[in-house]
Amino acid sequence: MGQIITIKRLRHWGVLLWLLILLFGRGGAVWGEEVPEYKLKAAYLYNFSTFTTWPDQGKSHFEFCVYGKSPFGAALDHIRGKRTGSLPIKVRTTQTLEGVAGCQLIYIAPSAINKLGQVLGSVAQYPVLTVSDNPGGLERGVMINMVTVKGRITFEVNLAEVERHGLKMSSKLLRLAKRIIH
Amino acid sequence: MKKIRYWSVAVGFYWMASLAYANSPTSSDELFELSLDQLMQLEVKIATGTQKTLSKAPASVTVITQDDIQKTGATNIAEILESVPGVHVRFNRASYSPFIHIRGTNTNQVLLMVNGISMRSLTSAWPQDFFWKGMPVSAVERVEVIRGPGSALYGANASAGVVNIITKSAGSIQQNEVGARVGSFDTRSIWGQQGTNVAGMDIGMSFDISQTDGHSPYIVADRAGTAGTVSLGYKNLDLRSYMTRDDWRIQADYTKNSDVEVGFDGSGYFDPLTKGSVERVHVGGFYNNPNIAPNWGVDAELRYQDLSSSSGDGYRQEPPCQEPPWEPPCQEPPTGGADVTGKIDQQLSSERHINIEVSGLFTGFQDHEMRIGGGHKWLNLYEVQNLVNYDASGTVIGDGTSLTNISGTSRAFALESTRKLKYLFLQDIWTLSDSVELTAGARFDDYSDFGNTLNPRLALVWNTTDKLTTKLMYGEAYRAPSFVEIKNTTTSVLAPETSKTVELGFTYPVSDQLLFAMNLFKYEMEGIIKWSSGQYQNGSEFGVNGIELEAQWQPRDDLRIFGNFTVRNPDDNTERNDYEPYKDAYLRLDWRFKPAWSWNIQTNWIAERNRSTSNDNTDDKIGGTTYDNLVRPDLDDNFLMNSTVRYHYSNQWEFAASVRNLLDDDAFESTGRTIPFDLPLPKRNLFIEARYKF
Repeated sequence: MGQIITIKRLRHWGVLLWLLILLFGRGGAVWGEEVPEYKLKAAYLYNFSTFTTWPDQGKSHFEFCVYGKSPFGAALDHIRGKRTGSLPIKVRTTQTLEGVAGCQLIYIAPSAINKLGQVLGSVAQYPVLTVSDNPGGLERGVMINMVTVKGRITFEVNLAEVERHGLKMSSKLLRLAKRIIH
Repeated sequence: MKKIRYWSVAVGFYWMASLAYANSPTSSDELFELSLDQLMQLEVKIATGTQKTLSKAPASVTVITQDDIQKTGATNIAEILESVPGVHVRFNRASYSPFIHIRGTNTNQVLLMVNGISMRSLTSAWPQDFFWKGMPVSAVERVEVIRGPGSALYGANASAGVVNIITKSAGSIQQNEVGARVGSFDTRSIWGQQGTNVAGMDIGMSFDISQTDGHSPYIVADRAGTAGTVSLGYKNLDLRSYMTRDDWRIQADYTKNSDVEVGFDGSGYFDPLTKGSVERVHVGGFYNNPNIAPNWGVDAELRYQDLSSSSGDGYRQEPPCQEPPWEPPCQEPPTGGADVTGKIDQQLSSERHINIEVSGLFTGFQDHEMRIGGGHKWLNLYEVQNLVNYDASGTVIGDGTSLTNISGTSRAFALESTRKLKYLFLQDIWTLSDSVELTAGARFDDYSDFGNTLNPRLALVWNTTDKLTTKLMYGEAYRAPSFVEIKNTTTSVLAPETSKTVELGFTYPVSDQLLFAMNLFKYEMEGIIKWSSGQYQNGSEFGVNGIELEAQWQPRDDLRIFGNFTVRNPDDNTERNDYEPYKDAYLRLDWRFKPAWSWNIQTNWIAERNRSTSNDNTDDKIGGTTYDNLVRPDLDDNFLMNSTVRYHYSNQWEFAASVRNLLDDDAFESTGRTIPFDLPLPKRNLFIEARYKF
């Protein structure tokens, strides 16, 4: 019987130990050593906007749009209040083609990738930077496509589309692109 | 004295945890301060490997990553699976082989795969071959666990759930690595992996060589009532390679377990003689083109597998009897002298599995994503050898040293035979609206030996609010009878075991830091295959329902806490698996207490393993006369705590130390009544390891 009592006591301490551990911690932050995919992609999107120049449209805000279900969670919260060029960034999500009007940057979420053609069609006449992370996105007319290779995120650029929409990309951005199609 | 020691442990943890609290938090805002060059250096953690996040997947899915494996100090896949809600891994009497149970069902109803290849042998109903001892984790990239029926996609044997272990391939060997580990019970491992690019081709290979003496548990009484220590050593060799170019991939693997000491025979007597071995060769060719034509993607695969298994000099089915009284299990030997060997039953089998499968993904209809595919499987048990030293009545012949070949006769454990299987599957993911997605699918399997089966599935995923995701799922599934089960049926045609499952799931991420999930499940199984009246028959029904609760909390950048709790409520009939706990819980904490140091502590609590009355010892032949009519008490709970510290000394060197069963709990695994006092699990033990990356 003595042995059984010892086991029970151990368990008791184990539970207490967990309770102690659970008492700690608050605040907010990112996950461990590897960065979650969409936190990293949010930072990429921000960088893309800072290395691209738009023709002057006389706007008071930079409209940063996500088309479809946003995969970013709260990661885009950190973009709000930042500036690209001289304009403060406004982030919004839209599920409709009408909602695309006014966007300077559109990220087409994986959930809406089967509507990619329609989204691109609706902004064909406007200076809008289009971004996706879908295999074959570039060939379908997206300007920047993010690709995950060996656990790291890289991107490819469809320069023909960029130029056709009247946007300019810095040479630094183009130098870092893994693939450019003209 | 003991009391003081545990207090000091508790105080120590308290102190360390308070240090964690004192560290200044960083925020994901930092990412936005990094340049593009710096961002490109960061390693990304992919949520699913598909475009769906797990909470939106049309199934209850858990993905275990390399990061989880390393942080928790798991050295074998069997250890890390215990962290999945609803999953309990128990160790079977024969060789302490890990048996994966999902949601209170029988392990036979689990489909266990490595890179999409079932680990099941044609001769057995188990999800793995007889000498499977889990799998070393060094080559593992991730493990996907689907709780719930998988037959609509994967075909046979996926009634309770699917475990798919995915090894490293192109892109996932990021750095060449060699490593070594030593630990208690004379356990030693070395491993290495290398990835390279030659002429536009990604080539990689990995090896892992391990051996252990096992934890040598002391058994109070075997079936004969004898006390003793059983040996559970084994050796493992794991070689894997791949080649990838553009849309093509070739994978070739060789694995071998040898000198697998089984400890007990099939009836519960000590078997110190058997040293089994199993070899597996797998070669697969894969083609994937997501844009083969407008709106069409295609996947194709061709696989070949050869599996050979041998029981060596064993099995020894009963211990030798040399003198009277000739009471069971001893039988008086006929003329020729005393039995000096016991009952010997040597079994060898070889099988090959060939599988071709082609599927297409069609996205041409708006709001639909359709996959259609089919395949052919050729399963061939091409060699069976069976040598025994006893006659048809079970009496040892002479002194037991001469063996009779019973291969190819009705007495053999299996017969050489072939099963062919053709299948078709269709699945459609239909986006009904911005917030509702319906997945409907079905698979039709046509077997050459027992007919056909159609298994549908339906899943509704509803983004109820911004944060809350609700899933309602229904699925049907089956387990195909094994060759041995089919052989040992006389009066009827054995049908597959079938199951129907309903699940309701909720995922609620309160914030980036906190997530809750809950799953309710209900299984109904029919035609469960049982040994009864001297043959295998489709027996009774079994149902189980239950709930899984999960939480993940990341209060700080460097601190993560995971927990889950499962309650199973099985029908209390003869089909209930009393190895399965009514309740179990898991709690894990990862803390990076200094930039180069990480610490993990985790606990498994296995509770309420109530015995079936059939597991009381009413048979006076079992456990010797000492344990006649023993009423076995319900098992005490297991409370297993592990702790691991990992130190990234430099970009090249990494060290880790781990203590398993930190509290030295007297943990037991439940087993049948032939071993009345159950199977002791390892006491406190430890390992250290070093890795060098280059």
